[in-house]
Amino acid sequence: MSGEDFPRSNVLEFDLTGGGAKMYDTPPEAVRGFLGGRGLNMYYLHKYLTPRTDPLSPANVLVFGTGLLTGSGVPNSGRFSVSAKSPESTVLADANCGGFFGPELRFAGVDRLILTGKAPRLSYLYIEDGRTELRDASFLRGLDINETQLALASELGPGIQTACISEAGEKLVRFACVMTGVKNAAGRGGLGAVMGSKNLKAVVVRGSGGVPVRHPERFVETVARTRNYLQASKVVKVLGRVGTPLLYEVSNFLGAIRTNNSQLNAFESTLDAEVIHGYVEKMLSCYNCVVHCRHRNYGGEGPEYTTIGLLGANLGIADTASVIDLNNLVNRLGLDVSSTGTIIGWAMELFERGMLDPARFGLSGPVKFGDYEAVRSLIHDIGSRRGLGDFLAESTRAADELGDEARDFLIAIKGLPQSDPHDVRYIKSFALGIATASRGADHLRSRPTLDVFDLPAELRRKVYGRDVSADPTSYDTKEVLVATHENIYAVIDALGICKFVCHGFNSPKLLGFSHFRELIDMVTGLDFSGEELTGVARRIVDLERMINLREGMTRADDTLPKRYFDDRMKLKLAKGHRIERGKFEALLSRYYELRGWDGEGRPSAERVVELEELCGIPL
Amino acid sequence: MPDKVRKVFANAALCTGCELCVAACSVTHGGENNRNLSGISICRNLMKRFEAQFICRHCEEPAACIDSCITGAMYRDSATGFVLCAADRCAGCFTCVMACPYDSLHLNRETGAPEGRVVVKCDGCPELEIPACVAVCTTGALVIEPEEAVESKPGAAGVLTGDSESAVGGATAGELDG
Repeated sequence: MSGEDFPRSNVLEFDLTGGGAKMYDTPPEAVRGFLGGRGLNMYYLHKYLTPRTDPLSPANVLVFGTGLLTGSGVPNSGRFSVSAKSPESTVLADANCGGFFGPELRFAGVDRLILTGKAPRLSYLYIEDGRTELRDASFLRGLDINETQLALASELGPGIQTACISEAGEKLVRFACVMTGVKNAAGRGGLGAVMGSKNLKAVVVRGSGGVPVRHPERFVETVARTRNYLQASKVVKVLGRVGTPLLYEVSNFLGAIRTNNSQLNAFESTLDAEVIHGYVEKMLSCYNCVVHCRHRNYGGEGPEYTTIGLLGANLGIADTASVIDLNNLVNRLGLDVSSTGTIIGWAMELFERGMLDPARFGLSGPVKFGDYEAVRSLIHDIGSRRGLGDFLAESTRAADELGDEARDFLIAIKGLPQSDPHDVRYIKSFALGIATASRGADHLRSRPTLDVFDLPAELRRKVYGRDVSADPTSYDTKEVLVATHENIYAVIDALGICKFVCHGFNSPKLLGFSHFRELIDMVTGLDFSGEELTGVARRIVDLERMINLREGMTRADDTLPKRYFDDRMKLKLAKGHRIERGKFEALLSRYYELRGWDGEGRPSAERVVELEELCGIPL
Repeated sequence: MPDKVRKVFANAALCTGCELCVAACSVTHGGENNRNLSGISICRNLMKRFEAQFICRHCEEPAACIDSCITGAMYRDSATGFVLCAADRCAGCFTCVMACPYDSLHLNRETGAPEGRVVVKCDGCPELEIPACVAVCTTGALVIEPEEAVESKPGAAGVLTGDSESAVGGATAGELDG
């Protein structure tokens, strides 16, 4: 298929320094090779990013990319990915975001937005049906996420979607998010700081177009059938009723909730989903979502499992209303909840150990675990870069001046604080997954959750294509789990569909390659075999690896926080568990081998040439 | 005229704002996911915390859109009872848009040229067993029932905001779709 039959996948490239816009199409080979979303974002990041670029300099490249199916109307296809070199970690940043912005970008005629340079003054980019204008944003300076969107709506009228940063992004807090709506965040890796470094307060889109569907006659039947299939799943039902907090009880039951900077591994039941639900007014959906896992609480949206884990258990705060209040606060201030909770927990432990002096920051005393008022004030200070908040706004780089001993207490990998509230010392596949994740310590690259479900051997064989160990504490065959989940998540991120309907993410019964194939065909008319989709996944994972290696990453970076190796878990089922270095290294080697990488985690020379050639196609 | 016109009603409390109904309507009628081609609209404001649904009620006499139409494009189909717009006669004046008390008609913003401007509205999906929007709705917010039956329903309490059952339905890690 070629020519006008080929689905549109264009790029609007905007130079913020000079104000010049150009539009071009992504080559069909690249669309077949990477689909869209995270996949094509990596394609362009590899193509345009000069290795070792200062991430907060105008030379960094910021990509907003919709998935191949974003906005097409198929279930849960409302997502987009934001990618750049991370100012927080030592590697790439790539964050996936829901809400309504991604589809609107496509309706406005743009599938991918690439931003380079730096605007001369604080600005916002306005895109309407392919027309682009860089406008003064001085009236938005210092505003939080909600205020920014409300101010733009009153300026521009209804029917816009906005992706923006808060004061934290303007002030280059290294874990500032790009946000849209009340709580949808391209949260990880400091992409809000990259936007801030480019003097870009917001991207506003308004579109009157649509996304064509190749086989409209199949649409209603396919969507209704897919919805029924998904909603028959227990996990989708539960997510739709109480959202991700359901995972808190499950993890807490195991003794796998990061508590007090991972000094402990279980916490109070005051943060159980059922208790949280007492504060929820209504459940909401992102665009075209059949799950509706988002809570509208009485002062904002959320909280997610990650928030109750990292702003609750990890900081020793048990009061439900206080944790929901902190959730609403970080969302308004546009801060990544994972980094905020991890970095504050780290500082609290350093205070306990006398390794951080309160007087240095003008504080009368240390910030202690469980002190909600102090945490609230500190979060404000991070967002505005004041005192201790200014110090912690540097994220893991704050450890540079404190030395190695302080660094040992950081729950971070590749400079990125861990996202998932899950203490990975018990489930070994989780440990390998966050160690190898291409954006640093993060669960959304693999999270082999099926590992705890005690699935029958036959089902395990069906999911993983071979026999795998059913014991979550064993190191045996965990490389197979991680690689399998990485592959399917790479594809779903490239399609622009939500992971909560993805096969393997909390259930073996959701959407897999055969469903993707059907949906891609219905929308675009392109035929992909399961093998080809696996090929897409491998290409994305390999290319991310190549980008990170270019930035200087080595095997030594595929590791875990020191505490996960050296300290045993203290509570509940997980008691006594830790990660053994020798077994972990052997597992890592097996993972590299399965990926076709050498002992140092490098793709083969032939593979590098193949992917560089694909990325080198002239536009 | 049939005894009973098949009308779609929305229960706002059950609507999560996903717009799958809009996608189904526009893809079915226009071949693309485009809200400007959809007879049903969802007006959502996350900051102001509401989701509102706008769909034609195919009003019985008097129907404001039919009465106000200056060209006679708006008419009632005698077989189905649906209020329809004959696009070839629509002048794009949008008097009906202003006249509709339920804000259920809108202009097609996509076709900017005056000659292409026609009003977009629900046609009731006469050829489908279930209207496209109802067929894909994820929560049962859209129904084909008498208006009174929808309005007397007890909101979202049972479905979307939790009930007396345990929040995770008593599921344990091992049971979640295991």
